[in-house]
Amino acid sequence: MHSLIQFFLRFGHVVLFLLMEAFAFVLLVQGNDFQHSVVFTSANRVSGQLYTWRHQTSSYFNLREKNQVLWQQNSDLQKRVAALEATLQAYQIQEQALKPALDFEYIHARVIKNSVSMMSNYFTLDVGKEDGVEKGMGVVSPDGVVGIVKACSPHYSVVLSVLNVQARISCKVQHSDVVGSLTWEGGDTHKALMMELPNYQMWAAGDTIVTSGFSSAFPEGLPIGTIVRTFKKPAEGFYRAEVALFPRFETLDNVRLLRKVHQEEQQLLEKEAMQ
Amino acid sequence: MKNTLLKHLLLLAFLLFVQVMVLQPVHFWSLTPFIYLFSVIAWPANWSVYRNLLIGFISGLILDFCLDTPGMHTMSLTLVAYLRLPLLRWCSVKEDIVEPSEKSMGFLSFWKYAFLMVLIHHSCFFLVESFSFFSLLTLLFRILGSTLASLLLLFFLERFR
Repeated sequence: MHSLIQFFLRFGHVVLFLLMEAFAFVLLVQGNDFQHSVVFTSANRVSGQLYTWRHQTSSYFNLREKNQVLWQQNSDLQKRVAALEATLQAYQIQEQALKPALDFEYIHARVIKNSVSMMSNYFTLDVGKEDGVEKGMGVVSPDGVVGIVKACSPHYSVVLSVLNVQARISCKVQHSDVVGSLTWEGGDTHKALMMELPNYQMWAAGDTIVTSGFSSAFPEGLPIGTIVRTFKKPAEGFYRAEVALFPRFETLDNVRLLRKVHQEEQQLLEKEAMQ
Repeated sequence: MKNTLLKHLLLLAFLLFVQVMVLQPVHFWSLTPFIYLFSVIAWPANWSVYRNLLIGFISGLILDFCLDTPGMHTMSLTLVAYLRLPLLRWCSVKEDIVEPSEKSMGFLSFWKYAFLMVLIHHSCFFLVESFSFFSLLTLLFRILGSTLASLLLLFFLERFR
């Protein structure tokens, strides 16, 4: 007994140090599973509120610039509307043909906390379960796809950014059937990789990459980026493409969440078919 | 004695706030300076190992909690909190240091100590961060780049002490 006390007097700090590090390690290992630990993320009420305040203050800083961007987008959209209306009239497309695009509803949200400098980046939105947000919903900025909802509390949600080494987004080369999956390898916030491109070359640098529509998070055809170059690793049978991403992740602010209208019906049916 | 503790805790709390609210959204080529190390480095030399550990551990938890970095800040901050007393003894030429600073320790000893603290912290942090993904070159760039960024910031802050 005496020697035990002696031991703790001499080495107690080593034991405490190791215990603390072990605790941190448990956090690290469990932390990737966000579903169990909304409390430990920025989606909890306290830091959610703090980040909301910060966002309210900082959102005044570059209003002029944002206005400019909005104005530009507005005029671009007007041009597109005009062009589309002309096309519609030319083809007399029935309403039915537009239906796939209407399968998704939008929820508008603002980014109150953002990170791009880590290997696993997440950002936090000011909407949560009570606004209809659910895990797995896709998130798009005005420029393109930015992430997928990873966890949500009643008033906030945490989004797995495209700039996260764990992110996989099903994508394809626009106007083709060449499908791959988009990943990010850290570092450059403007570049991602499209993996598993098939062996026959039916793409070129400059081609636009869009969502494939295979996952329930995004409808087909949402912009992601453009191909910069393609290359092949010696041991692999597939090509990889370096993709310049459209969204500027450093300045994310206004985003929309996509909710598939008949999601539950589709999932139920798929389940039924599996049995 | 009480006042010193309070002063250091207030500085720490302020710097943690700055880290979370101001510095985290800012990034220079994906490098992040860690301003709160300024407080950790300046903790009195006569604090016990336990006090160092406890304050380091709790600050780490607060950071992880606010920045969505599970365990990463806790791990690296506990590590430097534990190592700082031996490091301080090893780096300083004088015996009777109360609060480590450039003035009390001399330019070379203090910055050797500060450099080692920052380097160990950043190495641990970025190593743990690249847990699921490993690229040696990116890792080295992030460790050395962020060490440089943090040291520059500390150097600047030290002028105003």
